[in-house]
Amino acid sequence: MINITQLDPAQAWSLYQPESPDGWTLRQAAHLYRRGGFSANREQLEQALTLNPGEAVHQLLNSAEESVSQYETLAKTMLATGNANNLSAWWMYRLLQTADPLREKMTIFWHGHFATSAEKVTDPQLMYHQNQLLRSNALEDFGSLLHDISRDPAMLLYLDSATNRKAHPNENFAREIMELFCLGEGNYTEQDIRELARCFTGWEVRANRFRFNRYQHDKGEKNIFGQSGEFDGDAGVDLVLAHPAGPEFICRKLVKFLVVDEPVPSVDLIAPLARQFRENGLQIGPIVERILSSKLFFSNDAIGRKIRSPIEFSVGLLQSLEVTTNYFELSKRLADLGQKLFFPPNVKGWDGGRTWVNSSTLLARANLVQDLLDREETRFAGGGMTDLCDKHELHRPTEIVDWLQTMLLADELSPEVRSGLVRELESGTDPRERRLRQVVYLMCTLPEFQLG
Amino acid sequence: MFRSVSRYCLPLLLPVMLATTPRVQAVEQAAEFLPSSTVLYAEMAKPAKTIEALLQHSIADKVRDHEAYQQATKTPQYHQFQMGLKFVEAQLGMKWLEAVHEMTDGGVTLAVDAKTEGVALIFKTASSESLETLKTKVMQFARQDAKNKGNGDPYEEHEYRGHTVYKADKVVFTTNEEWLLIANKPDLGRHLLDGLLDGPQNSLMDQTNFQTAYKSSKNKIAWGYTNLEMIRNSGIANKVFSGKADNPGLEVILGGVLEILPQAAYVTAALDGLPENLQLTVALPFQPDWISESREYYFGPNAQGSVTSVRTTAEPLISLSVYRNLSEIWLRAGDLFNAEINDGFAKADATLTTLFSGKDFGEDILASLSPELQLVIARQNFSAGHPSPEIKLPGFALVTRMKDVEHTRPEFRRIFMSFIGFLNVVAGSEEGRAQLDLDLESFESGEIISTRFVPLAGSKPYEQTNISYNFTPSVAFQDDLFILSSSSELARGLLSSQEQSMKDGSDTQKDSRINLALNLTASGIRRTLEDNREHLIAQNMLEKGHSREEAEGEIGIIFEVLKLVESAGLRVLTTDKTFEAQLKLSFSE
Repeated sequence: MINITQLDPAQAWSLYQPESPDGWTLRQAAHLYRRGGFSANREQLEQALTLNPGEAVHQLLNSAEESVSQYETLAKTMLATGNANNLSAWWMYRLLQTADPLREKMTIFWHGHFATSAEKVTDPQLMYHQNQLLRSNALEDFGSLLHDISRDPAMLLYLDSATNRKAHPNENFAREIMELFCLGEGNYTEQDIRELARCFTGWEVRANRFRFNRYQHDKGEKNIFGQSGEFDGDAGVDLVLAHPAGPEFICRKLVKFLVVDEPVPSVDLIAPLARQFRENGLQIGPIVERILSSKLFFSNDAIGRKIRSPIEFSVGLLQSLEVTTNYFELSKRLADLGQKLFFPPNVKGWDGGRTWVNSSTLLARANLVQDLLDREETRFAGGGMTDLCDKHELHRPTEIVDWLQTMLLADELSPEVRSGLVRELESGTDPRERRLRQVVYLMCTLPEFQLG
Repeated sequence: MFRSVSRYCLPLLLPVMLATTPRVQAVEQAAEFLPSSTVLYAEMAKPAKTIEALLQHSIADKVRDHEAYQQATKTPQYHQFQMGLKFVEAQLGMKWLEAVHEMTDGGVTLAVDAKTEGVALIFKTASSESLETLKTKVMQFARQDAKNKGNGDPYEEHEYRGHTVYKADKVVFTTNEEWLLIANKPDLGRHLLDGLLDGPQNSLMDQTNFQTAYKSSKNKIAWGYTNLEMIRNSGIANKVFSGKADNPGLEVILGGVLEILPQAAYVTAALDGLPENLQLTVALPFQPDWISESREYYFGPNAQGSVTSVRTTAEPLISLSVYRNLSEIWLRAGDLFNAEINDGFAKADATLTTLFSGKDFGEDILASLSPELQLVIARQNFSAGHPSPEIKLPGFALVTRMKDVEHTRPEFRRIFMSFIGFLNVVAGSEEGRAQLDLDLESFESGEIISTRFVPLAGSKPYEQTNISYNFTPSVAFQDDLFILSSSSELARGLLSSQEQSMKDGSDTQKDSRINLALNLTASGIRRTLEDNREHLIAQNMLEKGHSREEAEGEIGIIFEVLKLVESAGLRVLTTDKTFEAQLKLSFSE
């Protein structure tokens, strides 16, 4: 077992190659899909086992291009309602139906990273536009993504930067691009913020569109990170992208998102990733691929060591059991769990990790599962739980519990809990469908299910 | 399944039992031996004929031809149902419809008795012989079924006045000649049999109110009667009889009914109209002097208020003509609503008075309008090159007349223009919201102050899909006619229709009896939904987790069902003696 605090960085990020065919297991494949997506159904897991870990990751990264027209049509009709809550339901639908789960997962990462809330940006059209921007850049060039997001109307409105005049440069965006988006605290000075803010003068939002007002742009010389020049906004963004602290900041956040919440990885551990990120021109995909195919990722120090976010919790459950349901209600309920899409709590996004669970959100998680199971619209593979079991030829209670365990949990159940669940299926006077749903409920409320 | 079939069919087939006691006086109607304490009475004169008419109706053919029905007939559940039906028919020795005819040829009656708190179901069958045959077969089958399952006799037998009374579960039943009597309370069962054997004595039919009401039951598919006086006296549903709605919306719709309910002795409901349509008429006794001053807004002075139907566009989706004196309801709010609602009225009054340049909203603004109101809802055409919202809402317009044209017209014109200015200020404060431009359009005999969207700089019409593009508020004036419309297109349509009808000499039609007339056209509703088909499908997908194919199928069924109906209408009217609500559903050819 690898101890993350004492890891050899080179070994940690080297390609995971099982020493024997038994070293590539269903559990590891499920782990890959949970982290590189949300979950997988049984067929997807079985298919992953026919590949080696590296190939499985490569396949995840290069998913067949999906037909986006149905999502766009759906989004269009939801946008017509003018209600961002409906957009949240739309994204839930897309998360469940997508053929490119890693891209969706990374879109959620960037949504939390470049946090913008519909609470303040009241036009859902702008939120949708930003969402598309994040999706199309999710695994591509970080530099392009940063340039695009800097001009994104939703972002500028959220950071009160719709107007930026040379007489009074707005420092909000300049501060956040350094502190939250690229470098992290301690890698810039207040003077850098003020000078960078001057670069962005004249960047405005008018009629929901980005506009450069040349009369309001400060054309004077600026001094940022020790470099001087008549930098404009794009040049300012390039200076931030060229800062040496940037790759480490982004890679650390990616490791936290994809591998472990705690402990905080050391500088040395992140260094190989940061070096690669810098050397490959800040391309996101290759870094994500290296992280997901590493020894550290497939080690027991990573499997089952992250607390599932509410999205991972709900979408994971739904995908594992091939569930379709009422997405409006589901997205509404996610607010109780602390993560509603398009509504991050503040400019820092969701803290994640241990903050996902407390007595209130744990209760909300249990209630969400109960509501899902009780809801008339909820279907498992187009029918009931019984149909799902029949589809997978699961008949005996032990078969069913073991199957659910593989599909839902990162770690094995203790023998006592397992036999308790088997007893729940074997005994009782309730109809089989109800008992099956009760077992799903019990499993989803176990501490083990909160970990992914 | 067969056990349950036998258990529940048996009571229906029992009229076969023949009574030996001769009747004192021939009884024709169930009401003649139902107790005078009957609080609810419902009868169906010829159920088999009604079922037959429905099965032979062109709508039934359309349903049978529909793909969804065809698919349903291929399901295991349908086959199971068909097998069960054939088994029952084999046991009875006749087709199910024939059995229904035999069982109900003289009518079926359902009654609730207040005294015993019992429910009675009474069948008058085709003949005592057919009842005996059916009873014998079903009882034999039920007993055999129970025996096969190792159960005891499902029926207890008791003797009462020479008649065998059967008890199954919580139900007692017996027969006398062609009558089958079923009750859930033995006391009620005894009373029914006594009444049948001894002849009419202090029965429901002896009640004057019932006799009066019963006259309206002739040639109806189904008819019902409820003794309101008895319900009122029992203290049940006091809130309904309190005369107060304490809800402004409910008051405007049902205020008149709430005024009558505390005084009316009964209410009747009648269903008729097949095959062209289906009409439900609910009637209450009514006297103009029952109306209090506070509800004069609803019925008009001396209960003479009635609607005027102004000619509307070619095919309105919905048109509602109603008599409501809005000024009176506003000013009499203190009598009609509780303190909390009145506080709301007071606040609204202050705001509206400010909006209307210091004029009293109730006294000056609402009072300047005729109480004869019309609401028209019509589909909108979003022509090419103009904003076309993704969700296409129908336009709606209020049509009424001004009492004092000289003063009111310029006042309304000015207020409307100020309102549009206010909307533009609000829109201007929100990024990306288009503003409205005002136009003055003159017609032959009137004018429209219409609005149109000012395109956002750089935006194309196809980008203007927000729901707000459904609204281009307008007002129109023609003599004393005043139209306030959500869309300029509808205002123009209404004004030109009005001009045309003036030329035709068919300006308005006043029906002195009608308080409210509501008409819905199914084709209009269907076309409006069709405009929003994509949105309905998306909504269905996200709400039910359906795939696109599933959602399209479900939405398609709604459209198919709408094709079966041509129109629906509601008329509320008063006469010197009754207050009636007539609901009519017309089927398409």
